[in-house]
Amino acid sequence: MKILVIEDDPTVGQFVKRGLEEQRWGVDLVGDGEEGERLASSDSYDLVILDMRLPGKPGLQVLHSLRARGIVCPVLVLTAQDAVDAKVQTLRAGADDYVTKPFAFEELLARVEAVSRRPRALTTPALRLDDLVLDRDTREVKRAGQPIELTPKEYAVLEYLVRHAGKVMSRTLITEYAWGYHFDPGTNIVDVVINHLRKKIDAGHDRKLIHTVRGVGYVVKV
Amino acid sequence: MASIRAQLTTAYAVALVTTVAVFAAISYGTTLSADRTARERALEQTVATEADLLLRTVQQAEASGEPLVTFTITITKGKRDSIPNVTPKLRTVLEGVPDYALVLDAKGRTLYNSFAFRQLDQDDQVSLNQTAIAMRADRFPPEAVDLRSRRLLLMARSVPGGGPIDRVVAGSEAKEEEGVAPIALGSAIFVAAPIILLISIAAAYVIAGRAFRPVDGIINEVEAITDGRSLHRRLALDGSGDELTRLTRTLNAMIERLETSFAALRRFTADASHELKTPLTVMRADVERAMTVPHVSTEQLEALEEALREVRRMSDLVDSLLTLARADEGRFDLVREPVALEPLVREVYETAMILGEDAGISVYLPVLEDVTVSGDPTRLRQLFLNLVTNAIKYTPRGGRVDLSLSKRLDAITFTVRDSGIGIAANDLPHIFDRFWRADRVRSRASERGGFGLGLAIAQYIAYAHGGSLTVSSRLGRGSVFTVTLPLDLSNS
Repeated sequence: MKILVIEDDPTVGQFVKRGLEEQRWGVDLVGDGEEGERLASSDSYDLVILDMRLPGKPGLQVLHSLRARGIVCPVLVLTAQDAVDAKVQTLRAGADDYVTKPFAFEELLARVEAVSRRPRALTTPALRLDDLVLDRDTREVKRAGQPIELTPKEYAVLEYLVRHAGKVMSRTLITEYAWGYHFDPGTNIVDVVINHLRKKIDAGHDRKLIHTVRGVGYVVKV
Repeated sequence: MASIRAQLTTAYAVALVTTVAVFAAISYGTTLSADRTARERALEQTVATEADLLLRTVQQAEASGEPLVTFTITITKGKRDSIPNVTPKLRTVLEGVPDYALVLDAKGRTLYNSFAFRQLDQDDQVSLNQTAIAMRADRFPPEAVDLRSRRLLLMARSVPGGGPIDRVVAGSEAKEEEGVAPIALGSAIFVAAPIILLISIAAAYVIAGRAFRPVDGIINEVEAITDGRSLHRRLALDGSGDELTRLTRTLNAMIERLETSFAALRRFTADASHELKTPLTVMRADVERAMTVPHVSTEQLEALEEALREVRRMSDLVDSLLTLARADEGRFDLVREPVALEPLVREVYETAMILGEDAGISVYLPVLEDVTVSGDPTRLRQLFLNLVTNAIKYTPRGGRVDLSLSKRLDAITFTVRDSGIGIAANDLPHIFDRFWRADRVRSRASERGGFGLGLAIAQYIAYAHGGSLTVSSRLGRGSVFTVTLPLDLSNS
């Protein structure tokens, strides 16, 4: 999949570009509205990620122009405007979806996948790590063939860690994934959930899967 | 007194009472003195007639030739003295004269005094005598003499012919009688004044009310305009150019300035929040990317995690400020979709149990029936989680938190009841204020407090859904927060 990112801020642009490239997609990055519109009009991209505030030509005008020329490729809008009317305006102008700043890359990725309707390798129904299996459709969890009962939050945390197996996931990222942006419990709620998971997943097994990274968060690995 | 209307009426009533009282007093006084003058004139005539009668009686008696006065001659220590005596003839004649009568000889000696005279006490007799001797004869009007017991009008006539009787004095009493007319006037005033007063006060009240009706209108309109959402409106001008029109113009100018400054404040908050979002996105992107670099050390990860947490807190603050700034403008940016509350409350309950486990607090939730409301699931989750987090935060170890969700006829209520430290009565009105926090010591020291926007946002969310968020609490007895949301009747 070839993706065009039209974003004038180099840090955000590079961040998005590298993140998407890690998913083995081809990414072009431009920082100017008119330049972006010219490239997108070539119709050689499967997806366009378009920032709303651009030098040269505002994002909304770029979007209008593209749709007016009959360019039908999915457009995902990046906006700092989370007002409903602004979102409605972009969707009506022809955007397929939007992500409001500041966003977590995880969310951007999920929306890119949804918009492009292309399941990536990670979204296969079953997640596996060693003898731990998570069925993402039924939310059933088994270790060594034994079913394990998890609460919704326990499942969410485990799934997030297993999906990023081998990578240290910080408490903030885990909290944000399982509880959303607006939740700030002021305490390390993740630690309590991890304790539960340890009892349910690792207790009685020689190979521990859940590991603590002091001061940061947790990693799931063999 | 509360209203200007009442004050004006009172002032008017006082002025009216004063005016009526002064007027009554003056007219009563005038009538009284006019009456007295008339009576005195009549009395003067009477006295003059009596004096004439007395004089004529004496002259007729003299004309008869009989001696009226005899003299008794006495010689004491070589001094000759003659003492006059009234003869029975004259005495008989004089007895027929009414009222006060005195007959004097040339030396001022009393030859006769009437019965009325003799009824006076000794002092009055003496002073009356002296006056009778001293006063000039044959002068009209009669002279007034104030005795101790009464007031007399006296008139003296000299008896010509050089006889033993030199002068006669007639007198009549001036009685202090109330006239009939003043009494009638006095009672008329006494009865009529309160009635007039009542009617006048009622009229004044009505007139004042009518005069102030436009002011009432202005007050109501200003209240409607300054509720924070209608500052674009202006008061209607009636164009009459009176004081009220000027007041209206002044108020309109003031509302305009308020509108300008409020708009500037909101624009600043919105712009500032908005401008902060891009740098926050950049920081967040930097941190997230740095965390995924291969072979990053744990120390670096720790620092990055710290940075990420702060970026998230900042993002949340910016989001809250922007949300509240929009709410001030009356804009509620909510997604509206059917939200099943049972799963949402279960999810919140699970979170509460996890938090409670860490804090040593039991959390309870009775069996739920499912209800659906029309709302924004993300915001409702934020609202519920906020209440639950607070309940746990302000409840000591060993306490309990009870959640409940119940359905009423046209609304649902979600309550969070805790057995915590409660809220002081004088803090209660402020807990939904922005950036307001009670004594920071209350929350556990190990936890970092929020920005004091949580409950303001929570109340905004409930309000934006057409519902409410209320609290009841007593210090040391825990708190109950109640969310009420209108039931989405189309989905039930």
